[in-house]
Amino acid sequence: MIQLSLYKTLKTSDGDLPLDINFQINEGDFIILEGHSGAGKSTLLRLIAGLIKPERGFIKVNDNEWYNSLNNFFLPPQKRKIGFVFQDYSLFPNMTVLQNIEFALKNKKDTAHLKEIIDIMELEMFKNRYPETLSGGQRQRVALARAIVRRPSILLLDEPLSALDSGMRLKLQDFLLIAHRNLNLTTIMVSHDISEIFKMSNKVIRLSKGKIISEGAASNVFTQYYISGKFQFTGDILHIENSDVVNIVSVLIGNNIVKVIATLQESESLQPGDKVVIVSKAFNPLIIKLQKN
Amino acid sequence: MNCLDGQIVNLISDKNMTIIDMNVSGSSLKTIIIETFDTASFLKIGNQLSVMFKETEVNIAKDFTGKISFQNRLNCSVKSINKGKLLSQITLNFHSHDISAIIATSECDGLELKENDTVLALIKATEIMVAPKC
Repeated sequence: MIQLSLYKTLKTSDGDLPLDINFQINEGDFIILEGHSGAGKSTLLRLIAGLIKPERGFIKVNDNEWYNSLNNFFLPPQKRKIGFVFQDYSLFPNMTVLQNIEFALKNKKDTAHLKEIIDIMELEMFKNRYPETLSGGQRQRVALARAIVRRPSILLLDEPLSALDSGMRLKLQDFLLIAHRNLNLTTIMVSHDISEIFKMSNKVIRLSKGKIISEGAASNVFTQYYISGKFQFTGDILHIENSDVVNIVSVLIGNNIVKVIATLQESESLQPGDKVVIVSKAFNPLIIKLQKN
Repeated sequence: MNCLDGQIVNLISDKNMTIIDMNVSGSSLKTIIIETFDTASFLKIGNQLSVMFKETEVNIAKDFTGKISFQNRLNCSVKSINKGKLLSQITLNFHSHDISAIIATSECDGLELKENDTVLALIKATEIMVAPKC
């Protein structure tokens, strides 16, 4: 369990803003921090990592103290078991993919763990390449691999997927979820994307002006966006074509175009370029195993 | 999509799934969802829900006798019919709400559907979605 209570005065363009946050999370939680820019999300991650010093409060990770203002204890960032991934990939340009990941490996003999991480992130074929030869999505996979190979007590992700196109973003979400589950990570991620929040998190913490305004399951925090269908994808309408008594709506989701039937009445409010959410239930899709090779 | 207002009458859950029994204009409607009270706190008896389902998931039976596994069987009357070559859109009246059904034109002809006919709208519980009403 991770318990924290942190107070820090933020300097903003509107003057001083007190960041005053208390929460506790459980091992294995996938927490998403949500809020307007300037709400204090990134500052909170940096406070947890020890990159910024709070004015008062405490951070307790399982039974270990990382910070306690009462006895003036502050564990330096390099001693905190943290994995941190930012929006920019911040890889070492002069090191190969493998060297970048190995750099973060605590016990250099732990090659089994290194291989496990490379397998989860599907980086085997890139491991001898340099970051500049990789795409944005591949670089971010390396950055994630480097963050999790340290076996962090907390994985901190500051909008790691927001610079990627939507197809790559969906794919990276899957990598991240697999890593989170297989390695039993405790993850805190900043995100604004509603479908990402529903897909990834088991708990959302909404911040506004340095305070928590609500927390809980995404379906409870964002009730206005909640619908029980488990197949939900956001996309853009490409075109709408009439056929018989219905319209066929083509929607771009990631890199795929899907077609959805709409009645003429509901099509009246739809036009190409509109952002839509496509919802279906978990009960109707067929599931067919693909053969390898 | 079809959207009706419902109120939760009863809930039966296992570890991950819940069957919601709802009152929609005096009739019972059931759905099954992959949520429980732990994951969706709106699952409380008495709460109001929006009940949503696709037009193509509404089936129609006329002069029906016998047993059938559709959990939702709604008594309706035919309000209007818009026949296409392959598909037809049937607007049904259900307790003064409209329910739209899209069925094959061949079946629309086979049922000899006409306005004011009394019919049963059949919807599987696995095809009904819900959302908490704000």
